[in-house]
Amino acid sequence: MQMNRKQSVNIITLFLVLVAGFTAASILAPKRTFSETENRTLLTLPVPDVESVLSGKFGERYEAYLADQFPGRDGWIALKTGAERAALRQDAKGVYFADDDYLIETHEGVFDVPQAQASATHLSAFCRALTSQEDAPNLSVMVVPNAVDILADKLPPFAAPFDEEEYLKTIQGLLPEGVWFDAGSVLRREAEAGRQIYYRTDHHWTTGAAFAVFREWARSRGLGEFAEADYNITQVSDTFTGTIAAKVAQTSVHDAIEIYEAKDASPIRVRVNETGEETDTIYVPDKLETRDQYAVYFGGNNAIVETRVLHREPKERRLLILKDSYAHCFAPFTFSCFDQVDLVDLRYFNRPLKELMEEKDYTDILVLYNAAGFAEDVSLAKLTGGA
Amino acid sequence: MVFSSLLFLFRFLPIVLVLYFAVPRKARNLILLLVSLFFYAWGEPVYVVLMAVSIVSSWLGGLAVDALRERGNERGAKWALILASGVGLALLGVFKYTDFVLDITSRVIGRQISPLGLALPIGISFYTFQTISYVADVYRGTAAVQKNIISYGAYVTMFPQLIAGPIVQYKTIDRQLRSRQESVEQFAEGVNRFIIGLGKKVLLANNAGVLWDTVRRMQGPIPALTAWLGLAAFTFQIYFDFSGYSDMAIGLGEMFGFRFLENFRYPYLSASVTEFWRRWHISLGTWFREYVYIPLGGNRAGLAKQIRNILVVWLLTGIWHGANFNFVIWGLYYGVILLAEKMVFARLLKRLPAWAKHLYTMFFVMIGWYIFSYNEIGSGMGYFLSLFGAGGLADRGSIYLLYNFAVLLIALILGSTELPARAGRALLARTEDSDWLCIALRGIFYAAVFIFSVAWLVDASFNPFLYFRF
Repeated sequence: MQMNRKQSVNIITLFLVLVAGFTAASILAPKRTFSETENRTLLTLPVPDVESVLSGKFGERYEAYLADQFPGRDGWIALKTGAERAALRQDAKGVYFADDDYLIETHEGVFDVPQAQASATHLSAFCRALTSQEDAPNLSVMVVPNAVDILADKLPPFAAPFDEEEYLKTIQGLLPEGVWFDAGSVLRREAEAGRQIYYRTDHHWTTGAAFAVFREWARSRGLGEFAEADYNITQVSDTFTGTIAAKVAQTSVHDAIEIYEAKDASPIRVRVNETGEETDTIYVPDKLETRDQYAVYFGGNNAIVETRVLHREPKERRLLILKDSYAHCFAPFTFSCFDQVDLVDLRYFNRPLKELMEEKDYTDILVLYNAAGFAEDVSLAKLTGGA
Repeated sequence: MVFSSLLFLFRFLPIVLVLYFAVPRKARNLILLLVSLFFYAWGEPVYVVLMAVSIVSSWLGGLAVDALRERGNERGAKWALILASGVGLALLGVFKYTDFVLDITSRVIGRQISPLGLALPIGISFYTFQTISYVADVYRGTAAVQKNIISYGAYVTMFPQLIAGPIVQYKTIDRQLRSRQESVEQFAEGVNRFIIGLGKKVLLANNAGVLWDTVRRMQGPIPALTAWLGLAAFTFQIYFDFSGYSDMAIGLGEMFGFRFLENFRYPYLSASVTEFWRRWHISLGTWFREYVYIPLGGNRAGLAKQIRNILVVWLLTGIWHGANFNFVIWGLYYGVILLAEKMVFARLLKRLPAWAKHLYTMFFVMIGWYIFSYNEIGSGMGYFLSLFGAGGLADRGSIYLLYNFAVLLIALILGSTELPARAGRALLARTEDSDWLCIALRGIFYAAVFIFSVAWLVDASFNPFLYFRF
């Protein structure tokens, strides 16, 4: 259909307005250095030099910079997700739009790759070496299943993600007898009983879920009996919009964060990343004002956090938790049973682990990861002295 | 640089439009040449030199051919043609095929020769073919010699078609290079065409690619339904990717007053494989016919020679697409099917009902795409067996994929037919008496496609470009 002159002029005008408008906006819009929504640093204007221009690297960086700094970036991503949902897509960007407003990561391609196997092998070698020592510390391994496994009944019909249970069984099979703690069974039972296990918008488990697992773990390891009534439970936020929501730029659903404080808690002294300063709490309330509210625990990821618990009668036990961020809401529960609880994140911890363990003479070691994080974590090689 | 990027849309294009229309007519080819060199150099700063060598040598070749023919020196002209094409082909050979040849050699002599690992210069297969067509046409006298290196350079490097075609033959735009009249109507047509192409690439091809990517990464035998869904997704991805890119190229050409020939005509509506290749990547098929098949004697030198010529053309078509064994097989696969259609099944095919012809065509085209994408499939040969049931018929996963991508698949199927274009024409025909209704309809449609495309580009988690590698 040929357009006449009037139509042509108008179509051209529309096109030029769109192109010029976005061009001007993307030049003039103020630049951001950090995206709260995506919780990551945004690229800034790269500076060209002869080497980067000739290798084409400058070009690549400039294009990535344009996409990062495009005005209204969050809105564009939300528009795209909206369009995908309107087209009846059940998942986008590795996230299922599940029942009950849950956003659940698919973890596609995480478990059926060599890295997942390597993670299991490193852990197994570490555990075997440790348990074969004389007066070996008590060792527990907890790899917590993700929402895609525990909340399988909320997934879209026919969704067939990789079976995490299969992977967890492989890990269990590689470990020495009595080391594995089956967090999955506890969580499934609790989920059935109506407890919220995961945040709807974030990849972490709730403090309540961590408590339920702690209770069973403490019982099985002879650390004592604990009940929900022993804690003051405070909701510190009802505006939490987590990392998964950020991925698909969804802003309509919010989670609540509850913290559990033992009624008879002993005072603590917390030291982060081996600095001189000590504080008397693990909570960083400022983080509730940011996007990543889960960082209210310990302020987020750190290489090492050492906590001394000043019990009136010392427990004579010291715990090392080798962990990812799933341990952040779990660790405070352990303060009731130990004089010292140290959290080490191998992704950031660069001293030899052996050195730390000799220094501190731990009586107990807990390995606590979420399944997907564990499968993907290349830093587990540090368990066996590598990387 | 690719068209489907924020960089192109909101940096390069506005600057080029301003520059191009700000300078007097005489300087426009120079502007085109300069911005095209920049366009190319953005991703491949070093290989610009290679392209310059190719341009200068073929331009000199054209001058020499013309001068020698003027003096009646046919032999000399022929040698000039061979020399000029030889330079282009040598560059193409070294940069695209060295490692492939080394690989074959090491297999034959049974000793490992380490590959050179040269990065493939973007668009080299396209621009080399354009330079050869120019010298050959001057030699045959079907195109006039271009004495102005700026105009000639603008022809070879012209950024709309530089990196992924269509392969523009010099003679088809000779006159436009010398004197063209940009017009409002043509520019508007170009805008329409460009936005349609952008939408095909970003909204349809990239999303089909997401489905294909999911399936091709699967290991081991997979259910037949999953395997066919994946292959269908690739079938659509490569069509919308490449034809979308051609649409954008043609549209941009129109904005600058050029008319390139069509490169695709609804190939998936074909009723035979022969017809498919008349509708798919038309500029490549035409090139091989004009510069290989016919010079070899075509079908006028007896049956045996014709068969040879057809197989030569398809072998070359295969390796033009990539320096790998699967492309050799892919090319010969089509050579054999086309021969069979021509010599054996011609009458049988005619008698089949229409649906059977389409089914037959799409089956062989899709199997062709399987061979084509062989190197990217996790389970390689196993995938082929999966297509025929080695991994069962269907499972939960295949049903999930089917309904998760149902709307997209319907859009892809409809988009491969003439229906959307016809519906659009019918709708616009009804609004003929009202310019404003017509403008509103078009405006809303194109603005929506453009804005959704930008949304996908901003969140560019998946924006590959298939024909980039050729």
